[in-house]
Amino acid sequence: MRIQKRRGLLALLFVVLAVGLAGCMPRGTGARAGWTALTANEDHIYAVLATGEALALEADSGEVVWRYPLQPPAAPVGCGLPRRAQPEVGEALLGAVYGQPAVLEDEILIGSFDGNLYSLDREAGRVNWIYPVSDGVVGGITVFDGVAYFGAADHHVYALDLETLELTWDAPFPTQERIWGAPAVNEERVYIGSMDQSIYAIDRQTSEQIWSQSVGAAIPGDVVVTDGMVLVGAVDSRLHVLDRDTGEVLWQTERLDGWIWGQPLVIENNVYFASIRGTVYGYGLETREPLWSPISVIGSVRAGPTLYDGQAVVGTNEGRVYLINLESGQTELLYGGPVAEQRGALLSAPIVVDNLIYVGSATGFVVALDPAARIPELWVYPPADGN
Amino acid sequence: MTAKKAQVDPKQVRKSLLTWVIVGAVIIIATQVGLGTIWREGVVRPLLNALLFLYAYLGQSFIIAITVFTVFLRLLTFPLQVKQIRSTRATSALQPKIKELQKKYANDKERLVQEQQRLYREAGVNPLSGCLPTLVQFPIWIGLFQTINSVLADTPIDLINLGNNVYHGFAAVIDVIPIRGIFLGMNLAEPDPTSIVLPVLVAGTTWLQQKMMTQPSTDSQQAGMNQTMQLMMPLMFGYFTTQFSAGLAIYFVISNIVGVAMQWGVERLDGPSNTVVEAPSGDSKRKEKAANGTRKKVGKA
Repeated sequence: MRIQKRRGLLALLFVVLAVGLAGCMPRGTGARAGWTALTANEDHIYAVLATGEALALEADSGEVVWRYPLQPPAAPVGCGLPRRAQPEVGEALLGAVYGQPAVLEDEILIGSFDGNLYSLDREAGRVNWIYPVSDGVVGGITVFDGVAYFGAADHHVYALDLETLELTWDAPFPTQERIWGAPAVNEERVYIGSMDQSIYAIDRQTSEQIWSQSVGAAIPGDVVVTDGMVLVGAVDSRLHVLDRDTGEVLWQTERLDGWIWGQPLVIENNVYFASIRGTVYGYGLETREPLWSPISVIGSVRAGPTLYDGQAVVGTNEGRVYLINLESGQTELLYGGPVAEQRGALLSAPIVVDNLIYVGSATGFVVALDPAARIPELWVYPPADGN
Repeated sequence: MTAKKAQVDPKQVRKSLLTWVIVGAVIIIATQVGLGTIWREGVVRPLLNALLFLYAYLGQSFIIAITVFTVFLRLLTFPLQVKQIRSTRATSALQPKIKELQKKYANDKERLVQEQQRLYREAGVNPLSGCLPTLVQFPIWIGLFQTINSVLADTPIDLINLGNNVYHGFAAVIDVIPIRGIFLGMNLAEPDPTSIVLPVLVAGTTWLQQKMMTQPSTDSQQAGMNQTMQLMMPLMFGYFTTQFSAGLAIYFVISNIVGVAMQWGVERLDGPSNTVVEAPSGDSKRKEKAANGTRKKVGKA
């Protein structure tokens, strides 16, 4: 009898342990966490948090203008077991979001890893429509002339007419691998990098391939198009510079210390970019030479530098924000320390509005920084008092 | 009357000293470098790069890479595994004597412990050594959980981890990223979409391995606990499989199969164990002499 009792207790202990442990583990696609993706217009910051919530915040105060979904999700039981059934699509949290949302006059477009492109009303935060794709949308959305261009993990590039919600091309443009970067679009062409190691130039009207060029390594990030050039980083730890018209490789950097993932920042004849091993580089596009010695920062830099008043802003996965003087390469730590570290990794690109810098952390914080102030932290969402 | 001088085994002293030196070194390194760094440099990065290496040079098939990787890991822990099997068998063989001691010293716990230790020492058995292979495998499991997700890099966060952990001089990795993690239409970075096939395979192979590894016990309480473990462990791992990536589940299946093969091989080499087996109910009529029995007979007891 005593033995049976013990066996029963042991069995119960195992079940509790199994359920508890499993609850703490990440699950399938639906539960995959993204990071906080930010975008803005003059007055508002729009953020999609790692939890799948979308927010509009007042740029100067951080006050919530709207929140999607309206009801915050119920706190989970233990580590990961939901307290209530998931709401219907259109009321549910967005899946993981990694790419920068696009802000239009009336709507915000958000690509999600759950395989949907969402349109939220810019004023009220309601879902206007959802466009399903056969796999996750990881990169940002580029809107040109009323058409949203984006790549997906299903290996295809889409061109979606935002009026009719129909594809402007006969079929999505195919590549050989998943696409995780945002396209660069001009009047004639769409340029995009794929994990199949190639960059593609596609006719914007007909979706015909104008050229494709292999750079010899997977391209996880965004491409940048500038005067006659296409620039992109790759997992071979190089920045590749291609001829915009022909796709010919003009030059590439030597193998640097880590993968180049973030979007390069082009200012005049110089390019600035960072590696995920935490080094920031500056090169002359004509001279093809480094502008200054590589700058080491603490933590990985996933997103590219953002321009702020003649300086480059970079965020790291250690929660730090650095300002780098573009001329001299002089570096200043703007934001860091234990609290910043606790708020989580900064994996999306910082954004700049009216001399303020905004960063979003992987754990769901949005921080406004004023570099001119003695204490740069202007506000934080969610605020410490929870209101 | 002179006090009996305590006998000190110099071999044992050396062993203890070495253990404490290792523990001390680990504590000093942990405080200087940080546990996170030790874990990353000592477990995650070597596992991740080894898996990537196999993928890059074995036809860029994740299934082949994980299979070879698992067999390699099991071979690496093979000496420990053999030690565990032999230790378990030896401990099991001592059960009748232990039972006698328990009866003899039922009222003198201190003496009982001393006599048991003496018995183990004379037989050259350390009952705790049987736990070592399992303990060694724990960090491998946890490391693999992180590694497999990073290597398959299904999400940008996993790819960042991969990029940060690949050895800088490992040029071949450039050509193989992204890893093709599709097997029989199943994304190995995600849990088994059927929620049945892999959990059942994991549970089944875990049960088989548990059954083969569990030695019969004369202690009815111990036997009862063994039976519970034999049932609960497969159920627990089967349930985990519904939550973990399919890649990790495949590691468990292959690892279990290799473990079963090793167990079988060692048993064939050493011959059957001689143990009096007592049914968990304690019914003496159901006692079975397994001296000439095979594992199958033991299992039926």
